[in-house]
Amino acid sequence: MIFKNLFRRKGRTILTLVGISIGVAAIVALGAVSRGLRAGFSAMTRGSQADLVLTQTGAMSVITSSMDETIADELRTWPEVAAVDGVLLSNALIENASYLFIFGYDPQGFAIEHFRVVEGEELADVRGVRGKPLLLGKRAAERLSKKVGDTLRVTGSTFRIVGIYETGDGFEDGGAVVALPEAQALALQPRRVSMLYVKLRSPSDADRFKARVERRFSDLSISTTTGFADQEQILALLEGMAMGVAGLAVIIGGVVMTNTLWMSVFERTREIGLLRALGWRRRQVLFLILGESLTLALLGGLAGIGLGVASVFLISRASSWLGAFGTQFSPDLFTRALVTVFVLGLVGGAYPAWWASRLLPLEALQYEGGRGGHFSRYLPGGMVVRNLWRRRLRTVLTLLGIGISIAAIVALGGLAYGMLDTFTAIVRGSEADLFAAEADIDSDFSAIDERVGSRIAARPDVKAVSGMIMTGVNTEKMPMLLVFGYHPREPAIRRFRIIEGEPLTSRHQVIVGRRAAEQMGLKVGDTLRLLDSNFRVVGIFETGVGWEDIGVVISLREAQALTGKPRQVQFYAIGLRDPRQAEAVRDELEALFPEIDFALTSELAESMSDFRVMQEMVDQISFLAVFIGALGMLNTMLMSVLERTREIGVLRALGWSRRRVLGLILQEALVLGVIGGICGAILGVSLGEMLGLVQGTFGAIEPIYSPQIFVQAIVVAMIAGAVGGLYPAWRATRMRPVEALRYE
Amino acid sequence: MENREVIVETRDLVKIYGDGAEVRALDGVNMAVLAGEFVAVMGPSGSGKSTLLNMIGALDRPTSGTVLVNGQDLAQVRNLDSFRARTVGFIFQMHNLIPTLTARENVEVPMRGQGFSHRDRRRRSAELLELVGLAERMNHLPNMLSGGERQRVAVARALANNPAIILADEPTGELDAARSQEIISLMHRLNHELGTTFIVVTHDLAVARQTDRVLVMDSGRIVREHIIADPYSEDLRQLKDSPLGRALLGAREVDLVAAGVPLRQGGQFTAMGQMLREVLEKV
Ligand SMILES: Nc1ncnc2c1ncn2[C@@H]1O[C@H](COP(=O)(O)OP(=O)(O)O)[C@@H](O)[C@H]1O
Ligand SMILES: [Mg+2]
Repeated sequence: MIFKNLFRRKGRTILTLVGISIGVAAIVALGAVSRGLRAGFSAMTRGSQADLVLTQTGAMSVITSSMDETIADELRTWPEVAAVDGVLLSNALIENASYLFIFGYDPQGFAIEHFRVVEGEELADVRGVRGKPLLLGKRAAERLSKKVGDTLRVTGSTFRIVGIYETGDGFEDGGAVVALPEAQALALQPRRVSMLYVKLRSPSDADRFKARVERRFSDLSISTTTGFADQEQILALLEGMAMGVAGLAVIIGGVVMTNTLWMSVFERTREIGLLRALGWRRRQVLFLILGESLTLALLGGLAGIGLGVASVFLISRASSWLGAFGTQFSPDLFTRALVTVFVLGLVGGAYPAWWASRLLPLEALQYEGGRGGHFSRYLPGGMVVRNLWRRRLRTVLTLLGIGISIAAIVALGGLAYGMLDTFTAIVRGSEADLFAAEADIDSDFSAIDERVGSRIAARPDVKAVSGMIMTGVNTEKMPMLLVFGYHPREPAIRRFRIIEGEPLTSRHQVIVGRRAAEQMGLKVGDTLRLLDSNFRVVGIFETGVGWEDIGVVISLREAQALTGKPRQVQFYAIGLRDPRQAEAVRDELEALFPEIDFALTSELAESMSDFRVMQEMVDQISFLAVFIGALGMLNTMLMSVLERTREIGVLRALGWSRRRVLGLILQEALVLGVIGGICGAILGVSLGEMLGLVQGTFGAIEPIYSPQIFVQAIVVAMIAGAVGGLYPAWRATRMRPVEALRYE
Repeated sequence: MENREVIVETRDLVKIYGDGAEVRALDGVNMAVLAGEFVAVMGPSGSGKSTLLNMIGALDRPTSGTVLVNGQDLAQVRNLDSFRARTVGFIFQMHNLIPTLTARENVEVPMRGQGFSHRDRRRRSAELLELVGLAERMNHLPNMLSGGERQRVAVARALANNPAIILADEPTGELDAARSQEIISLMHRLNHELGTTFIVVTHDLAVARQTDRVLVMDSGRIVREHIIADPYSEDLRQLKDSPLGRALLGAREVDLVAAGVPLRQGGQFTAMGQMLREVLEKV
């Protein structure tokens, strides 16, 4: 009976299955990717044949971890240690504008041994080739169509491919290996490594070694090669993201599920009455409906698992980045998907089933199917609003789906603008007219030689030049402390208004932002440890810009040392003698230094690549929101059209034209979209505000909601409405009046 | 009957459903309906009654043959939507009202997009609901109305654009005898007052007996035609009801017939009946 009921409405059943299976597919696919990443990291560390791995404490990922190479030299002198190998991981831009993972290894070390060269030579054996030698992973070679002997340009340097390797781990096989110093030069991190592999003389020394490391290097984390992946914060982040997307998918699956069951129960009200009149008990009716819902959910779950596996397969073919980490399907992933689906079935089916079982036989038999509710005739807006009101629960669920997507846009957009505003404030405060950063690169990686600065400063039309560096450092008390490097005697540092103590004058000094001082419990005279150096707190400052107030300022020289960029700065703030000439000077400077971007301080916002990246991210999320929103909308509107088939037939019989019917359905979808957009915007603002309450980097950014964000959100919602409504509306107009009238 | 023009005519109308197992729902139907006529269509289930009505109402296209409405071939009509809205009105077996709209708004549905101003629509819907005796229940939703009331709203809705023809497919099929009679009387009144042509599919003999003519269908053909009454019957009724008539006749028709007065024979008036009518006309 359950199957017969489901097959009675094939279109609807299929739609429901699609809805549920997409949710399940999201869970399965994202889960598999994050597991693949985990497996990739584990395989990498295990393959190294090391016993232990050392990384920087609190680093988001091994890729952002950074420590001094000399630590390795010290460790080698310890009696427990058999061998130490430093490795630098970085992601570099290559010739076809895609990214490639670059592993820097010591060619003579033990850790490089697991890169089994299948073609060409080992890195250690290379003699007399032109260009710097590079080993390319097998999958990378396939992707880039490169052979042994070819060249490969990586961020400006040319490498010669001397061999192709294969380790069997997707992450490694999708990258390239170069000698450590080359990797350090590429990543602009001279004498620094991401992690250290340690081989012990005897496994029983492990505990003693660990204790010793902890005593000696407070900012290093130690883990076994097998336990390494658990330390990776990026995995936690990705897993969190997977949960988020899965949550959204479950909501949409829920919308679909509830939709279907309500429709199915409503349209069979008389039938249920008949069953009850024939002696069925409440419980039997309840189980019948629940059975249908669970069957649907389970079928959808199975289809979703298939879809998830297939899409992961396709993605890893299409995307080099994800392809780089293999993916992994574990049984518990499938279990999780099926449990989710089971809960979905129970929750989606519970209320309709309960409602059906509560029906009195007589009442149900007389049921006419007109459910406007007495209230609905007072609603403004005619048929459109009333049709949405008719299925309140469905409308609310659909709104929820759209709203959440829109909320993401608004919250992220608000943060992006807040960040931009903060940044503009920093730049403006530096009393500069022009602002210079390395061209075509994320500002985090910008590096300008100080000689460029001196040349600019020497120009007659330039009044002053201030170099600056901005970086994040992990400290014990604050996981991501912003460190600014300014020259103590250049004008830009003046913006850090000292409210306690005195300004920065020499080496080994630091001034601390008011909020950072509060969070870390620092007073004037205390000592702050940054990476391997100690700094004395000489003053507390306040600028009023949240981001700066949770940071600290040290001298430019020391900041250069800290970031491993000697004689280089990230940005230059340039003050002119005649600010009105700013544009002309900018054009001249751009011609002189093509590798550097010069921006008018007033226009900095738009030209910042960080901002562009952020904007792009917002755009991408908007796209995703349109997709998810449109999917929910599509389902809701299709159901709505299906269940109103007869009604549409009547309208057509009464002389309504196709266009009029199309308009009605589209209007409903648009109203749904706009209301969803507004709810989402409100939700987004609250979300942004909540993020603002969180301590740390996020908290420092005051989100700013420009009208543009709201316009974007509403437009996105409307597009979702139009896209999701178009097909159902079109379908509604294609129905022939007679067929529609005969529809049961 | 003489001067009235033909408003609906079908010629060799054939409708075949399905590709594989063909169903000949209409198998060469020839019929004509005069303007202002009240015609019933009867016949067993599946004999093609609804199909015939759908063809006349341009809800579907015939496989072959022609439907002429007001002398115009429906196959040539460019805008069928507008034809449906303005020329025909539909009444279905189940009221088929839009559940989210009030009675009044339901009546306004066919007027939308036909160039009525909002105020005209409001006015006309109120008038029509008054005409069907539902002035009080204008703002009620369908589920707050009884079955008979719903069907009366459906009648008002069919009248919305003052169509020349109303097509009703078993309009009393779901109603009890008393409610059925209400609806049929209403339709008769409209037939007289507005001159609207009615084609009504029914299974109810009591309903059929009150119409001008009955077409009987079987297996997609019209197999018989009964003329229930002729144009004079109405006059006779009037005569019967007037004081003069009563005085003249001294009794009701039945009494006269019972008394052996040969008023009519084989559906036609006798010379006696004719004479009485002419006498009355002169008064
Ligand atoms: N859309 C359709 N598709 C297939 N067969 C149909 C369709 N509509 C009607 N029929 C068939 O055509 C015949 C006449 O139907 P119909 O006109 O509805 O009969 P009635 O109204 O006299 O009961 C029936 O056999 C019916 O099954
Ligand atoms: Mg029928």
